[in-house]
Amino acid sequence: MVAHGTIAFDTLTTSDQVNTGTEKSIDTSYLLNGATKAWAYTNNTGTTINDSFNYSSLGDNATGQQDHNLTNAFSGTNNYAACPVGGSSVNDVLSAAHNSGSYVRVYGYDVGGPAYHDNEVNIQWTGDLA
Amino acid sequence: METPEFQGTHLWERLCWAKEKLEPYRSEYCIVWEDPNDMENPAKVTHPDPNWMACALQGGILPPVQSYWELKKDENKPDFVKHTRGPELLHNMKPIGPMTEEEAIEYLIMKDIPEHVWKDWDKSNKPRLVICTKSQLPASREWRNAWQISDELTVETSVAA
Repeated sequence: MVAHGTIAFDTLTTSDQVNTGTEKSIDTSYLLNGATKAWAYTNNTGTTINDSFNYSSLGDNATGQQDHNLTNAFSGTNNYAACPVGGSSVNDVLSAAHNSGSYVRVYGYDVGGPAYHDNEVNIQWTGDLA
Repeated sequence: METPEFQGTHLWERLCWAKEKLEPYRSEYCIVWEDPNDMENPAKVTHPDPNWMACALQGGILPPVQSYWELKKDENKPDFVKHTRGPELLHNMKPIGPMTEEEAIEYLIMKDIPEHVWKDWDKSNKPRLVICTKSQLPASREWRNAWQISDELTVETSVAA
């Protein structure tokens, strides 16, 4: 039987008998704070968000530059991590720059290439929300 | 589907609800804009997120756009460290009702595009912001870094006024 509802608790504890036998606990707030707060998968030209969570828009800024905008911003401008990966070859490199709690610019490079390069972007964001 | 009463619920939790319950809406519209403070770079194109569009059309989920303006003001203060008005501006603020697709695009302009671009947007010598369909964009990206809004464009003043 599947029950729908809410389980409210502050601490999750395991006896860990299978492995170490030493009891371990974790605060629920730690779980929430450590969860991914936003993510997206975009096409290489920055014109389509294939799927996402907590996104409001995607900007095609120029070749190899995408602007990613959030609906629920982070609490600060530098206290979160936005980690992009992607590309179709090992030579594709992505980086993200931010100075706002609600947006990052993702740059795509082609190693050995002369300039920015259009790349698919898979990105996830972690940190404390506003 | 009826939206639950979300005032007082964390915005992120509302988005969790929307992700599970609402069908993403893929708009054909996008926003082409140029930054008057950055004319060296090509025109930018902003595309709405399909899940966000679903929230905008559904209503009762997103805060008023003014909440985002206030957050930006806070971020721009020299002594800014952390947002302290998230609960007041995002989570406890009464969510706005359902928008039409056009209203949602206008909201997005005022949320995700710098104010100096869209404010007085129709008073510049040439259009610096245009709402168009994706099919109206150049088909090739070969000259992407030279894209500009055409000077010849006819501007409708009813949009994003």
